[in-house]
Amino acid sequence: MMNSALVDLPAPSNITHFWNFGSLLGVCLMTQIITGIFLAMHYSSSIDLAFDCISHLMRDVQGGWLMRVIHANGASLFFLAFFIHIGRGLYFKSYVLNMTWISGVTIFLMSMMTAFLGYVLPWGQMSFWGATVITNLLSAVPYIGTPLVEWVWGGFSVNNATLTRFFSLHYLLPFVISLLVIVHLTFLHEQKSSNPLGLRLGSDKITFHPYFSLKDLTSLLLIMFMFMMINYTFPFSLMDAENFIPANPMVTPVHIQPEWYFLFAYAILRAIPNKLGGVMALLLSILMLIPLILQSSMKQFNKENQKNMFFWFFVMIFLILTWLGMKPVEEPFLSMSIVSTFFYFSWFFI
Amino acid sequence: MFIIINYTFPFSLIDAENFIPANPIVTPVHIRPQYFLFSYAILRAILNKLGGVKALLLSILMLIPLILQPSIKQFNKENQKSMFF
Repeated sequence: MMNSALVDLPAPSNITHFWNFGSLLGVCLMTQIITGIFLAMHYSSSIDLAFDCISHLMRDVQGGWLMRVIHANGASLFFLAFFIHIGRGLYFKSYVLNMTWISGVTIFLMSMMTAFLGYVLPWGQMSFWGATVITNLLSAVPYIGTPLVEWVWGGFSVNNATLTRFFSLHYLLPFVISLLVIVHLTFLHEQKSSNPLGLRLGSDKITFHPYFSLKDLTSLLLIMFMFMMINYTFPFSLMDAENFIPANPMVTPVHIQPEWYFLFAYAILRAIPNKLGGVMALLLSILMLIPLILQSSMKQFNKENQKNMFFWFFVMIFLILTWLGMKPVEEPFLSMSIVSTFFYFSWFFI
Repeated sequence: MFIIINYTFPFSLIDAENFIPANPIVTPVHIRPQYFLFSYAILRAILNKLGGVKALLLSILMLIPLILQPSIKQFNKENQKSMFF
């Protein structure tokens, strides 16, 4: 089985470095699981101990800071790779592989969930308030909203019960994701990879090893080099300063904002004035990926230049939304995010 | 039956010592595991420490060499001796 998946696997001869991000995501997942297991050894999911555990880990545990920095920035690398991997899929119409695409979207959603749960664990200010904001989204569910939120919290606010269950689920979900990855790969190897020319899926194949094993390794080494460079030189550049302050339910930070990889969804959430509408838009911002599989499959790639041009427009909108997500809710950012949200969703219809 | 046990004798299989918080200063009179008693007995039966650990491991790993025995033989054709044992 390992042979058919890694050595003799028939892979398209013309796939570019954009096809390396799948294996990179696999490496990211493994890195996160391994560092996470070691972090869990020094962690205690109690609101009284969590923040001090991290402090102890960063200061006193041999190599603990590195484990944590790899795990925290690893999430950023994970999502960067996700965005490129999905972007590649959108541009080169990888969604013709229906089941692979759907399992991929599921993995993405699960990973977002896991990243959110993990962000709460250090129990800093942004952890606490992030958890408060995001769990409150469930209150938008009609009729059962409030009981649902209290059920998720295990109380009447984000509290100790919330933290312990978040830790438990944060530990569990990566293993669910690993299983889904196996499903994703099984579908992929059954339907064969897409390729940049939009050739028929079965045509022009070369073996995975040595061609793509080495190609994956090349980009992996390059990216890991840059990643470790960030970890060693600017380890906290992606972290919010608020999260170095212990959680305090009495003090709300001026700007509550998620990590950079959730900013686009956050901007979409805030762009819709209605609460339920915002939550729906937030969900749809990811779930809109699924109906793409209905689009005419196996069409020649270069027949649809128009859509490819609009892809870059979509990338711009995505980046603008990311930028808007970290801006306060005020003009001109508010109307900008409404317009950007409109364009974000309209892209899926052209 | 499992749920009957859970509802009527939930603690019947739990060691009384484990209702006392951990205390490194006080060693319980009998230290013994739950369902691992068979390997625990094997471990203690060997006087040498390393020997005991090896016996403990082998008590499970001995299952693996069984695959070397002639396979696909008719179940009831096999001599009755091994079945009897």
